Amino acid sequence: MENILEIKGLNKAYDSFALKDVNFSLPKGYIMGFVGENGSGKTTTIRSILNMANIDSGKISVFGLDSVKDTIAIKEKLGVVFDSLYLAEHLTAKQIEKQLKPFYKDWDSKEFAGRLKSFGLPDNKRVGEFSKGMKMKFMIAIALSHKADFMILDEPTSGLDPVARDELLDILAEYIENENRSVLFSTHITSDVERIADYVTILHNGRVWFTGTKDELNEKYVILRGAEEDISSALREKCIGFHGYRNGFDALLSTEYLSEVTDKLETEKADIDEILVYVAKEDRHERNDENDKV
Amino acid sequence: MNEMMKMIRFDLITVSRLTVPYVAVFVAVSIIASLFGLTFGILCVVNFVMIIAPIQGINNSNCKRLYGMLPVRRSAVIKALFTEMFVTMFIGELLSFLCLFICRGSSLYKILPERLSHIASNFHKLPESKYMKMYLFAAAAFAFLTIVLCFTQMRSEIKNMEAAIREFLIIVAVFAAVATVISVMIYNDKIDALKDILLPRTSAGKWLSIAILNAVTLAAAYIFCTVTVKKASDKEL
Repeated sequence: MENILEIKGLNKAYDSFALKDVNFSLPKGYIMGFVGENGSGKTTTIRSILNMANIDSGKISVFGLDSVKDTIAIKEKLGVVFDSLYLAEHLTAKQIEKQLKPFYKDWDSKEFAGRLKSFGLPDNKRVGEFSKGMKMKFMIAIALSHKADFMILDEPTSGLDPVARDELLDILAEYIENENRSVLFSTHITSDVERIADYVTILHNGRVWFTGTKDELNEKYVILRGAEEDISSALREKCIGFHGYRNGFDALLSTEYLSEVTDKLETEKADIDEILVYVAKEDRHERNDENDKV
Repeated sequence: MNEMMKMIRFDLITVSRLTVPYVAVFVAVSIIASLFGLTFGILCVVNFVMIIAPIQGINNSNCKRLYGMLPVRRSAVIKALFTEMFVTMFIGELLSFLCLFICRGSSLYKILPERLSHIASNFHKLPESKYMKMYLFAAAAFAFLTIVLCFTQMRSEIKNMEAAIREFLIIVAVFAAVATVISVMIYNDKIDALKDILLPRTSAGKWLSIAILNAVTLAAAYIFCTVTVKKASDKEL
């Protein structure tokens, strides 16, 4: 399978945050959900892919091209949608087309007009007056008009009502029907990932906690529940985000340890939201343990 | 179309909607005022330039994220920005010259109320050598504004906007103080040699000074642009 995006050993440090040895790849023809809590490094990773952040080490390839040396060639074929509109809000869609057209060799005005129409976007209204959902669709229309083969979306569905979110996800699903195209989208709303993503990458504290297909993720972890006295200390050590309460405990467990689970304990499938919560709990435990040692 | 021209076109479309109404009003007011021999017509043009320049800067600082997404080199974005600043200011200078020219040739001031007509006629009756000084002052004002704005833009790109504004205020204050001292000394005939350099007696000398001022301004804008490209091209957006 040919990868449209490859990130190898990406490191980027700021004063209070760092991306550490980030590695993942996205094959052509698939959608990857990029998830993680606030401050986990999703936007920094996206900024690094776009060469907006200067990476300390590592290599990012998009379409097989180097993200730093070949940034212009990459951006010709790359569509970017951020959570807010980055265009001049006092201009109309038509005026924005005039601005952007010269930058892209493959800009197709017919496609742009057609997309505006099919997305229900007026071309004579100031884009600043568009609703949030319309702004997202407008940015997607721009990406489609310059024949972007790879689309990166940073929190595109946050702040959208369910109808607008559903519409946006449908547009992405339609976009990916062409097997040469791929989508990377970061989000907090994991139900969107569950719905349309083929691949999932979970970032936690600047590191890749999981990367792989959504099915692998679904099969890799379960939620373990039961009474605290029924879990062996060895198994407890292997739990992620162990949370004890008055009547028992719950925790996330890798399925490779399922053979150690006794009949007295219950397991159930974990969704991405739950996985994120347990990962965050584990992190808090580790920090508390470290504080206790100090 | 090269990358720089694409960026200039991009910025022009962005600012034209915001600035065209202001520009049209200021140009119209300036020209009408000049037709009636009113010197403040020239001041209007100065104001117009002072309004346009910051708008250009604001526009560019807001669009950095967009520039990170467009298939365009950062150096082209910076070069376009400095070119826009210089050209805008130069157009302002030419407009002020046009106003001065109209002012000198028009006799419409005679239809103004007596008091205004008197003020305008004083200005109209100035000998040619003294009137030429107005062109020189206009050129000097635009040279100063362009250099300071280019410097401020350079500092804001390399460092940040807060530092740039701080330095901008310091430069303006220092310049105002120095200019005041020199003006007082020239007025009191204390430094005749400097007066001859700054305010040549002949028209040809004054035009030469204007040409030198513009050349120096262009050179300064080019140097500030080159330094900015070198230091800020790799800066994160």
